[in-house]
Amino acid sequence: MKLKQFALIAAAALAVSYGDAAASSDATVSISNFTFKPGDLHIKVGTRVTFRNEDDIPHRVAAVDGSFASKALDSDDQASFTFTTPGVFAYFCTLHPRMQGKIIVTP
Amino acid sequence: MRDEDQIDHPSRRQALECMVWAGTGVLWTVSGGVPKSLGLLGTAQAAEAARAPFTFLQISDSHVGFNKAANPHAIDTLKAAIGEVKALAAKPAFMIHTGDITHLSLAAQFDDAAQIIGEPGLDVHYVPGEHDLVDDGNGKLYADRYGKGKQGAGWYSFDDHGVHFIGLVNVVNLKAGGLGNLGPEQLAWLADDLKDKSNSAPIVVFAHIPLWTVYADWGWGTDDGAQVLQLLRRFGSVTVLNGHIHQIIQKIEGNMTFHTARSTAFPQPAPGKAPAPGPMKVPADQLRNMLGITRVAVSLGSQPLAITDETLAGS
Repeated sequence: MKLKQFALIAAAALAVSYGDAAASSDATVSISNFTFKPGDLHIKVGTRVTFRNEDDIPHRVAAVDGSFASKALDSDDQASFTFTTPGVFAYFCTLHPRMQGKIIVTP
Repeated sequence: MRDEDQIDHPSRRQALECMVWAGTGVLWTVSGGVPKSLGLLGTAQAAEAARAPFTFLQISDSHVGFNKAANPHAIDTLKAAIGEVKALAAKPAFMIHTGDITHLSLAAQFDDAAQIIGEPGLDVHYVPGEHDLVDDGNGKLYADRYGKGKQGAGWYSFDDHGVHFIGLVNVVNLKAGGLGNLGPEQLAWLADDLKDKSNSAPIVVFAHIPLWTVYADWGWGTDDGAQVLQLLRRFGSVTVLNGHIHQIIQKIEGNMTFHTARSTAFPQPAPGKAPAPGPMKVPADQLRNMLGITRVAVSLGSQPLAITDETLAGS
């Protein structure tokens, strides 16, 4: 129950954007060779994180708790999320679920 | 494997390597679980086709829309594969497509795929790959096109020439850290579907991701695939056909034959032979040796299924 409430708060606190976001984003997770880099990303509340796909195959980023998800990212596509709630956000690629990472958000 | 003398009389091991690594079309007859190489594609294929009551084709991983370095012209290699289908002397009964029809689930990609794959005028039985369900509707485009009359996320069975065919979906609701996934609803449906089948009924099961674990580190397996195999264990002849890994890997276990098909779009590396399982770049003159289609000849009575893999080279 606690987790569920947390997920709802997180969903309300996240905003997604696509396209030309890299220049102004605060942190980047690159996706290459079926790996999120860095696998663990430590950020402060309010940071916008851009996921950028550098592989020749699409990937799709989604939080394990369902609080955020991108559309399918083709090569060189990117998606950004702003994390406004502290916590640990585990995510994975819904196409290749062995690919996993974490965003660790501190106040 | 270019040495003619060596391929003329292949030992089982040599022939298998030949299929997997050199892409030579070697015909296999599977009888009582023991694979027997009949020789090179050509005369043996013709002899087998004449004996078999019917043949069907497996096509896989078309990835319509893929245009990256590993094959900038994936639509052309699909057209070449379909050209081979149209040129077959003995018309196959139907085709199965084991998923990743499209690269990004775009409506135009589904349209192009349907137009090209439909050219030979054969019935095509589809199951989705994970690339077919990434539209904004989370699979709505696939369901609208291919979901009619099917169960759940698109699983189904049908009978043809006395063989029971089962199409399974193992690319939905994938769990973080996991492999392919069928889910309890589909497994319950399968148990019910098989319940009245006689042990002697030949079974062909097809799904996108391998139902057996080829290489877990790359996600090449299905978490609850073992439950499917358990349900199929009592049958005398089971053939499991998968795609997803863009290369041929074959295994015989008891009465079960496992076989993965080549893609018509791009090859992927052998398990663990690269940092990641993405599209593999090969010299342009080798590409068509690594793409292809699969032909299955079914001979009823003695229960052999002959699986022939044909490359696009020379077409």
